Amino acid sequence: MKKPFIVGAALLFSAGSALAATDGSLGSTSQGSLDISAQIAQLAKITALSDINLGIFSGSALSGSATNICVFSNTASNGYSVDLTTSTSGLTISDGTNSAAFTATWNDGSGGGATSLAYNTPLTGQTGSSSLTCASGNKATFAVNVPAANMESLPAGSYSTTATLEVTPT
Amino acid sequence: MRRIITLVCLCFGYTLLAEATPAIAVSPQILYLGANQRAVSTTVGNLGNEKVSVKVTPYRIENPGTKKEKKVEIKDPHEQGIFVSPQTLVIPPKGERKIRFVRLGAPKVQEQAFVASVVPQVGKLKAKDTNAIKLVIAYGVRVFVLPTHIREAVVLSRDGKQANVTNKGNVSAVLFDGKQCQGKKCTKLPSFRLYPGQTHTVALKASSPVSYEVSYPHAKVAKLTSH
Repeated sequence: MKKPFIVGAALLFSAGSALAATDGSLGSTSQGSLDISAQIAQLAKITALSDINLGIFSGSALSGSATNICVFSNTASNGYSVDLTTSTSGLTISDGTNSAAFTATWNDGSGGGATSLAYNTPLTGQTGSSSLTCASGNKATFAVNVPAANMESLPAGSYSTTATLEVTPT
Repeated sequence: MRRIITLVCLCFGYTLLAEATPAIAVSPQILYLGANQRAVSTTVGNLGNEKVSVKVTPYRIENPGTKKEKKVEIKDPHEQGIFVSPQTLVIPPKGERKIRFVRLGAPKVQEQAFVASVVPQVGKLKAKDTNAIKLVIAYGVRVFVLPTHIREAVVLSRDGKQANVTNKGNVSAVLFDGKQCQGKKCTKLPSFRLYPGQTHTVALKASSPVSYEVSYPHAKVAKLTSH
């Protein structure tokens, strides 16, 4: 009966080295042993990211944000960089033909305030949370703003883009 | 009336934006490719209940760790010395696939830094009755190709209310758990990765000794203390 468990444990914990299990001896009580090892890799993980509905243009700038974003990083520094790209051309929303440029900022929630994001340029020096749920704080905010001047000359329509936020641990 | 219009618009927006967004996980995201290693790999997991397509794009990092840091896409793997495969993955629900990073050519005298973007693919978004931005999460994998002879040499000095940390070695290091203490009261200092040849200056609140932990490749940790 012991063998399937050992195999299961090995698979579950992805042991990098051979397990040194020992069988117990025959008797009224018997004690065997097995090694269990687990490896925790360095990684970052974003959760609680929501899409941004900018609403309808009515002559004022369009703005919106995704708040309470949890960026977990288990590296020694809890640090990461964030990089923004879009499915349109640069930082723009588009109806397929016309486009309007927007600005974007990232605030890692560590108290330093928001910093501008440039297209496909890593914003370095960000600090994440050591908690997977960000229970200890450091919730990030991604905000966008489309100035009214960039929208007013465009034909009526629905403008959108898919923005990809890439997080890389330091 | 305006409230009703606003509500209708928000409802349309919600319907549009509620389309499934692929969710992936990548682990590990920091890899060291030693001089005696040919390749290392990472695993991409599909956390969703639908098949996901993932695109992998390798980059060389220019001016790493600075405000001028820039990613330059690798078009010629032989020229850059690293090959990443596969660059397109199709992962079944709850499934996993590996990405391999293969060293091409001999190690250099100094660590080389690369990053691979691991991006889930989504269909083209078409907004209706609203303006919207759909957000997708992607992950970067840092790959450090190590030199044959590793020199770990990060030094810390302090000049009044300024701490200077210099990497005189040939591999990058992560400085963490930095602090400046006056008696029992300690101020936490920022953490950062310091690349070979770089100096990082930290502004201090007081003129007293500072300390940092330094993590080198392969999780080797040392402690630095200034005067």
